[in-house]
Amino acid sequence: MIKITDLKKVYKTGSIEFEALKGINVHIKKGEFVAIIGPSGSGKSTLMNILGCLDGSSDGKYLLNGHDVCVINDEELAKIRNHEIGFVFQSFNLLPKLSSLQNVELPLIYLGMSPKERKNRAEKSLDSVGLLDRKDHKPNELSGGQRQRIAIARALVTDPAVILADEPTGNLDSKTTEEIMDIFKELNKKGNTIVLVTHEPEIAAQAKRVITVKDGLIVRDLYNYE
Amino acid sequence: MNILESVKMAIISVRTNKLRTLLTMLGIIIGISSVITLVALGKGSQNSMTKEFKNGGANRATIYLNRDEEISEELYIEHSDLDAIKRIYGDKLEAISFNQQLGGSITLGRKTHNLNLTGVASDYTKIENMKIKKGRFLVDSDISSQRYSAVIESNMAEKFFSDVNPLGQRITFDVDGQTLSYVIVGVFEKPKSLMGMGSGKQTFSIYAPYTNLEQITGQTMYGEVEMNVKSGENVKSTVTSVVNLLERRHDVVGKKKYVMYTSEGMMKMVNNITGKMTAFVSAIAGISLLVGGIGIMNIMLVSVTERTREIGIRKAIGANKKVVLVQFLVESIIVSGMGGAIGIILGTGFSYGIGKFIKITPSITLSVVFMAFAFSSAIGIFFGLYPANKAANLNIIDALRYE
Ligand SMILES: Nc1ncnc2c1ncn2[C@@H]1O[C@H](COP(=O)(O)OP(=O)(O)O)[C@@H](O)[C@H]1O
Ligand SMILES: [Mg+2]
Repeated sequence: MIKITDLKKVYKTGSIEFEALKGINVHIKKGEFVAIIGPSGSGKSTLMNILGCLDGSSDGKYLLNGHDVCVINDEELAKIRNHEIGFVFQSFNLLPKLSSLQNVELPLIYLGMSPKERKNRAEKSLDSVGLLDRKDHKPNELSGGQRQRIAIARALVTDPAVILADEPTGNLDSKTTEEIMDIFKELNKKGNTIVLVTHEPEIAAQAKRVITVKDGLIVRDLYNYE
Repeated sequence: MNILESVKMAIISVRTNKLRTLLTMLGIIIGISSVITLVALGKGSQNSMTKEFKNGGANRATIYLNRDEEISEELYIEHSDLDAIKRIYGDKLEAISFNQQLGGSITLGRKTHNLNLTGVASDYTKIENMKIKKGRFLVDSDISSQRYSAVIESNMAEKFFSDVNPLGQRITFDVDGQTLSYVIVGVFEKPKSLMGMGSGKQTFSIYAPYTNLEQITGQTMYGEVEMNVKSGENVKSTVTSVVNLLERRHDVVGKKKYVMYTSEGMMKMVNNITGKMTAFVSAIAGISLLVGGIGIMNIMLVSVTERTREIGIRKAIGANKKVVLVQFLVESIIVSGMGGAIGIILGTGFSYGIGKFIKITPSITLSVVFMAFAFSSAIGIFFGLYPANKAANLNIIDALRYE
């Protein structure tokens, strides 16, 4: 499903070059629940952004669900972001002027779905995170945990190949963190592939597989067997 | 994603920022409304002038001595000339008349009014457009017997004979240092005229036989003669023939001593002038539209910056460059199109308001409205393209990180 080989990323700031990823090799199969852990600045977000096709790599190969992501054009990349990837951000990134339902519908609009079907699908997705009764609320009328659940519903709605979450509980308290993690576990149980970034070992421990990143390299890759 | 969704999205965003949208539209509103007002009034005045010429007789013409040339006594037009013209071209002319005028004054109570005594022939009503409200116009016997018969203007009749029938009454006034007394035989009214308007103090008009005025002034030769060519005849060639006849009779063939003035020619000239004026004024309005367009571009650029994060989010969940471009372009077209529509409505209102004031019926044609609308939308496209393109090409990661 996800296969990256010798992935490198160099940031250029003026004349200063910084190698954030120094050759990552990883293979994630369908249905996996992977946590990526590592200290701040180790390159987790850089890796996730490349996985999410939000950013390009400097070198290496990235295969996502059979697409060679490095060689396709903008339009196809947008399609992949839309169809294959559900991204959950630390800061939620909902559109403040739209209602919960409209936020969740947005990816389906870009997919070209009819309004009726779109509404159905979005409501179903909102229901699966337990927030159907908040569908007409705007983001600023919701708590942080609820906002993140809306964002997860948005990531889910196109039925993507993989859900990528970069520190999804970073802005949340421990109780809501548990709620959000329960949702991810539930989704994984239903067959969704999930890749989640965190720097908290307790959270990583809830995934089935933990990849540890340090200074732009994978230093450990372990499966949790309960 | 289809265009309908883009339009919906654009409407949402335009609505959530009403004040800014309005301010953005302001330039376009001002530009379009002034274009509409100016074009409507320009066309309206052109129409009413054309109508006036038609009323006043598009077939009307005057032949007069060319003041640019050396004029001698022998060149003046005499009674015998008039007879000759009537004999030869009478079947092509509706009417022909000498015309001499005298300024004078008339006193009513303590007030003195200006008046204009004009000596004309009996068929002058076929040259100058007027309506006989009471009595009659001058007749041939008035002319031949040089009678002191007068046809007075209706507002004069109202003022001087408010409680009696003016017909048959005497009217006495001072002209040329003499006090004259005429018998009123008729009352006329002229259609409201653009040109006669606003000439300040009111001057009353009185018509009397030209033969009568000849007696008073002693002048029996004229520098000009007025005529009306029968409809169906070619005005220019007929009048040219008359000019040629005069040249032959006065032995000045080809010397340009007589020139002609036709309503037709005048109308062409006026149309030409108003056309040029409209073009000039439209050019100025065009500049204001340009400024309006730059205003749109400016605000759209601000909007793109302000909404950087939104753009990042949209792109992150699957909007491609084209979709973002179209969204912003549609927004700018909606803003400018709406500005155009408001401008058209306001411009229509202004032109009727101003038109009422300056007594011009504005003419707003569908093609002008359509062009104004199309033009304002085109401004939206043109000036929206750069900001929209900027939005479309934002880097996702940078945009998401933008605060
Ligand atoms: N746009 C950028 N330009 C330059 N350096 C960057 C940029 N983004 C991240 N970095 C650097 O790359 C390294 C990895 O960053 P990041 O992937 O965000 O780390 P993490 O998410 O693990 O905290 C950091 O040292 C950071 O300073
Ligand atoms: Mg990070």
